[in-house]
Amino acid sequence: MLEGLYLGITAAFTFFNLVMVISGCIIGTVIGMLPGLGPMSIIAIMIPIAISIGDPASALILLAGVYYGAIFGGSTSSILINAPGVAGTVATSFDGYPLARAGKAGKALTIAAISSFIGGTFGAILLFGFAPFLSKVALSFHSSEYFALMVLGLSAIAAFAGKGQVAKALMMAILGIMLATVGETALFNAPRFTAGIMNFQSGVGFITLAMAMFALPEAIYLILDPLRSKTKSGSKINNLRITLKEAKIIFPVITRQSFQGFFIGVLPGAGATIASFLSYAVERNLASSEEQKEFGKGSIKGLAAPETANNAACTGSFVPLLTLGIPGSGTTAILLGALIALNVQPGPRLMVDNPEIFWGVIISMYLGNIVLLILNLPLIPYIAKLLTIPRNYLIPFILFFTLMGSYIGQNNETELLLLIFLGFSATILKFANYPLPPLLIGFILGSMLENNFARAMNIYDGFGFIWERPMTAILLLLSVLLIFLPAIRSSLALRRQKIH
Amino acid sequence: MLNLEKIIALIILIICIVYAYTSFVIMQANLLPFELNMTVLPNSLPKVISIFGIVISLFLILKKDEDIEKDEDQSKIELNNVLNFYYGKALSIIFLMILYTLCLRPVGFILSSILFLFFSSFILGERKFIKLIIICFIGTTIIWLLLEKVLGIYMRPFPYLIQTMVS
Repeated sequence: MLEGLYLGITAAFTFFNLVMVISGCIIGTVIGMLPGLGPMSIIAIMIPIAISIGDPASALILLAGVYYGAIFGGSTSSILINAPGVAGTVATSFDGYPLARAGKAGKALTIAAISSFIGGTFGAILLFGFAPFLSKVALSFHSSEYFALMVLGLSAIAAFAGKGQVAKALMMAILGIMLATVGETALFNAPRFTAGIMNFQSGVGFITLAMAMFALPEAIYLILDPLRSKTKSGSKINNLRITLKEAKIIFPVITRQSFQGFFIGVLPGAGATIASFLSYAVERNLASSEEQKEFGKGSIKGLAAPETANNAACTGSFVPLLTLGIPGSGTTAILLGALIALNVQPGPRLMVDNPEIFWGVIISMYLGNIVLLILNLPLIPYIAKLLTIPRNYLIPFILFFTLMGSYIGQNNETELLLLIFLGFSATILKFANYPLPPLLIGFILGSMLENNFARAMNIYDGFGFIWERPMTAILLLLSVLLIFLPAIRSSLALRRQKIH
Repeated sequence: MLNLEKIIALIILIICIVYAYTSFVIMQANLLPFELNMTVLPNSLPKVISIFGIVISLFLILKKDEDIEKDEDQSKIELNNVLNFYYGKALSIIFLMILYTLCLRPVGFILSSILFLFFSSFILGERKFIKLIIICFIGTTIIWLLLEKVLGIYMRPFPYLIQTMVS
């Protein structure tokens, strides 16, 4: 393995490759900040440039820089303007945006950058050590386990429900699943719930819904209530310092979520989205009752957890790609295309036939991670200053980017009208104190849940998969536990109070 | 008296009933013969979630008011503030967004975006017109160049008529 590591380092560390990774990080960060352009689309756009370079190692290093840059750029727009451009950064906005509004944008961005970096580092170490073994584990996951995993992801909605709000959170998740059933699916032959509108056949776009649930209501609120747009203590906005106390709080979170995120990322199809939602739910459940109240209002734990998990999951998604040639996510599918175009065939033979490429890819992904941290930490004060732009300019531009993000994704006006309607509805829901994140979680996981459930039912000709496959049963039990854990904890606390 | 939470629950209940009717009646009637033998039908999940939706929305409607504990979230709207909100401005900007959507293709990306940014800033109270026009123009052009020239995403820049004349 050490020999492979040496091969990878020699392939990655040249002057030209360093220029490539720096350019990739800058391009990825800048474009990734635009809602609607996630890592997948940016990498797809960069593939022709990467192929024209010719050398696989340099091309992959450029793409690695773009990849990590785009992830960080997406987190930046989530934190600063509450506009998550990709599903993996939705959970980041839950606590990142409240922190930014509290005048701690610099700190929030620093926590996001450091958590992502450590998540990526742990991910790379695990990738070094366990890639071949983990690929076998990933293959043992069938549709029934994926279904159970989606249920586990959905159980995260309990984490977004405040006191007495569980019914509302469930209602929102159901509305999200309803929206996910609109349009065509791979399973059935006819589109559903389109009301005869042609443009709805492809379903509701994720970007449209994400913008409608987060960015648009926030922008409308900023218009309604000018006092809201005044972020507290402006001088702290570009303060990056994390205190020792804060570091001690987030360190165990980052460690736990690096492992959890990586192992979820290894499973093809699960990816960064579920990893980030689950990390948020797990950390909220593990937190003390005092800390739990902070979640959703600017908890540093609530920010560090999804940021660590989604980066670790991104690294984890390289396990099936490099060892089996199976792309575990949309982004790795695009990277697989790039590798094939560069005459590299990922799969079980890659490590034996082309060890320099195998280790070169791993080292270049990690190099992207390091360069991103070095490049972006000094830039954070300037990025955070975006929030000090006068509201008369900031709000129109937020609205403009929101509309553009949705338009780029679907390229039709109906989608924009839908965005405005959903955004207006979401504002009213927010008025009435209905939690909006469960709606988006229901939407994202709903279709995956239905597909995997249908496959499992077809394979086992009924519900037999629940008791015939132990892993499915364990995951379903974990979901039940995650839903009822807050209730169990509060009843235990009540009993303890009575005893005292 | 019904509060906003319950009115919303009522609207959601109506949505769930329409959704349930579509799943149980319309989709069931449109199933193809071979689909009837499938373990999971296209309307299986919709049926289940529509029932859940109806039950939960009924629960939210019938729930006693005192049971509803308001979240002490920062984003909670204080009643005093609500009365002083700028509803007119918000509605004007929503109207402007609809107008922008409808004009995007016929008027072209650059002109419609500049006008959208200009008028929304104007509604929000910006009165330094020259500075505003410069910012709107630069912002729109940079985004258009990025989309069109760097990322290859086509956006018709000018009104259809002008574009045909130029080409």
